[in-house]
Amino acid sequence: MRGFLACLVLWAVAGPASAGTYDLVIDHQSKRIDGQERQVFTINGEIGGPTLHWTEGEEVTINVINRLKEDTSIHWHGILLPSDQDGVPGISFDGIKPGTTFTYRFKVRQSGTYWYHSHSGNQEQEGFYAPIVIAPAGGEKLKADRDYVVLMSDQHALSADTILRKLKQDGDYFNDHRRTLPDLVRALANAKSSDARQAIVSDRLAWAEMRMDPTDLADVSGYTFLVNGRGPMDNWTGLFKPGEKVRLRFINGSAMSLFDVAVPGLRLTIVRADGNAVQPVTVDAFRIGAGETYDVLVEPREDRAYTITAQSIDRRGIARATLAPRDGMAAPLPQPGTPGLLGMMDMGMPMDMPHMDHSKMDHAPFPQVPPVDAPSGAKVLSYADLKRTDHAYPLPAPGRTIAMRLTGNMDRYIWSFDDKKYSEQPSLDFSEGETVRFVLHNETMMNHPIHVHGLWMDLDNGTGVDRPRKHTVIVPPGRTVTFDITMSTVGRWPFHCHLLFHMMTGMFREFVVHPRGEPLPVSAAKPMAPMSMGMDHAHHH
Amino acid sequence: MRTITKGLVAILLSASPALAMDDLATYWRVDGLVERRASSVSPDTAWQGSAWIGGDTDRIRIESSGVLGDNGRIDNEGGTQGIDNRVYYSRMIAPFWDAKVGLQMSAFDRGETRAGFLAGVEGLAPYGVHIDAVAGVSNTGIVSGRLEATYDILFTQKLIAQPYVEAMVASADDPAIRLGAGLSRIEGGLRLRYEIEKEVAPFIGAGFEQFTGATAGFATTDGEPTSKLRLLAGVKVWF
Repeated sequence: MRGFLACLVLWAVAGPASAGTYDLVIDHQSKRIDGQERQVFTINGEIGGPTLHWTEGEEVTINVINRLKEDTSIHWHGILLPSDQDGVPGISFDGIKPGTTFTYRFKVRQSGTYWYHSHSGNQEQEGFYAPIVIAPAGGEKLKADRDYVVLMSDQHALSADTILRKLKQDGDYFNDHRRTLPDLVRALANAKSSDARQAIVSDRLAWAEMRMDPTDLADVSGYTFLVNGRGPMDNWTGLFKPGEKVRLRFINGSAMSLFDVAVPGLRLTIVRADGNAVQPVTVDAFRIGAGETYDVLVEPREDRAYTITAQSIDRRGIARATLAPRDGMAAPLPQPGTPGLLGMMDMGMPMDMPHMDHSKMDHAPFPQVPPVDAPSGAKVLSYADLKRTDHAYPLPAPGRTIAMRLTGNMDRYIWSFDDKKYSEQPSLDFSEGETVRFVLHNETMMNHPIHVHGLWMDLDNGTGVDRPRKHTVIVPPGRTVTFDITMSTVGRWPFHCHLLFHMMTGMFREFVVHPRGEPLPVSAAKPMAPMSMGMDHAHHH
Repeated sequence: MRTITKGLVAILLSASPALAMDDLATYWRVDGLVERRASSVSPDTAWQGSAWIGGDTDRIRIESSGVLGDNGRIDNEGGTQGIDNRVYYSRMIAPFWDAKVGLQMSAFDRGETRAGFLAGVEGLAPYGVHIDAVAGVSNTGIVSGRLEATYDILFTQKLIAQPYVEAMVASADDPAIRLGAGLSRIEGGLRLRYEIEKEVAPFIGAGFEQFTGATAGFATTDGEPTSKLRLLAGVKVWF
């Protein structure tokens, strides 16, 4: 009887469970972007859409109808669900064959802004991505008059296959900012002292010795940057009345790009990160990695257009959208700013130590890398500014620590964890409920937005009990980032860099969370190559 | 029994092809360079071609190079070159380096041919110097070594100067192809290319070739110059 009452009370608190059914038709077709025909993958005929609107507590049923000539899949990015609904072919399920329909079913246990995308072949980077907006069970605490998704992405004229082939043939293929001899002569001529000249030469030599180029901020150039599937000329526009509060749900759904986002003339109040509510923090700009989301409140007061700008971090281009009181208005489109150069710090080395020595790598407590061209005095969001609002969930002390190095070989275009590609490493095994600390050190010169499926990362950003909960965390070049993951759900979970060519070439690991009480495979205690693991078993039995 | 089954499952899981694009994919690249060369002797046409196919680690490489004079004769380059065809198996041994082993088939002037085994390394040395260093033994029993190095100097993103050096040593004389023992030939020069596309770059350049030691002796006997200054013009392509 008491049990029944308890159930009744719970039911009353949670409210009646809602249920929704959604049909998504996957196709490949031509779409016009900035006046140019592009062959893209579409969902219900859209690129960058349709937005799925769910409610926390809802039982969702999603029918995915594959009209392609190839297998497809949908991964629900950042969503907590059973492992077999996670949508990664070969890990969660077998994929969705051409001409068939696959039905996903799971209960929505969270709220905020997320997104979904294909996890098959090159479909994601050729248009197959769209937003998910989940309303909190009790309604949004922070009200807004308008609510818009700003899904940023990158679209290339070359197919993803071609891009990867070029990168494998020439890792520098897309770097059109390489340092030249005239650059050196100019820098030396402008140097004020012999010390300055010496520093310039030492810097050049140090980079040359490493066979790298500090202008190498992004592996691929030539992207058109889109907002909600529209190009900068198409200029996606969200309407407002002056004085209204507007919620902007930023999603970085790009293949290879990190963005620095600003809305000149407006301050941005960050209220959620990766779906989870954070203590509101007001900034002028923020950096968003592929896979991350931020909910932002803005209050445009003037009767004029405001440009939402998302500059790629190499400043080769800009994703642009507009907030305006009326359709057809536009504010000036800022010219892309100055790209930064990587410094020796980004290679994990202080300036006075030009020789690579991993043992002396910088282990800064928390990376804060503002855009170099941010106006002075501008407040740029740092991960250290993110503080959770929900203190109801515990932060258990980690039982063990796993250190991982983020590694790469730009010459061969191979990306890896601990110098081993996905295919060269066994899965990492965990027990349900255990909390594990991950210490990731980035030895490469690229930013890596590291994403985990089906689990949360409690990011150690120096805020102690306020640390935020994320599903994607940028690990900047040369830096170390620490987070704890509580292995809350049994199953097989991908853990990978969300820059898709990094993922595809090897920066990917599989986590296997085993049911509580079940002994872990030998490999968990003693990491070994698959072959030797097999021999070990044969020997013992 | 259960443990064995579990072990097997674990092995199967770790060997599962899920998402293993990183080791299933095969890539390739073909490089070619053709140039006209003018010097105090008859003008000629030279080519260098290479191609690889394979994964990140293991690759098959083929290389072909040669010089054909306008007089229809193969330029032996002091017995160091001929029309040279090679096939290698190469394996990445360090981030910027491949080791390679293979076979060489060369045709020289007057119908002479040589076959041999080769082993060497190719890669990018610190400071960005591209190195191809190969040692070989031919069917005449002569052991030889060849070093080629190039370096790119960027004037702009598209206008690039590439100095190069080549040197060859041999263990003994091979008079039939006019190769002499010791350091037989060194060549240095520069090609200035303009990359219309990354893949297509016409160039002009100059090179200086010097025969040394016994090889120079053979040239003198034949009434050929022991050194040549050449002007070069050609095109470099890859795909």
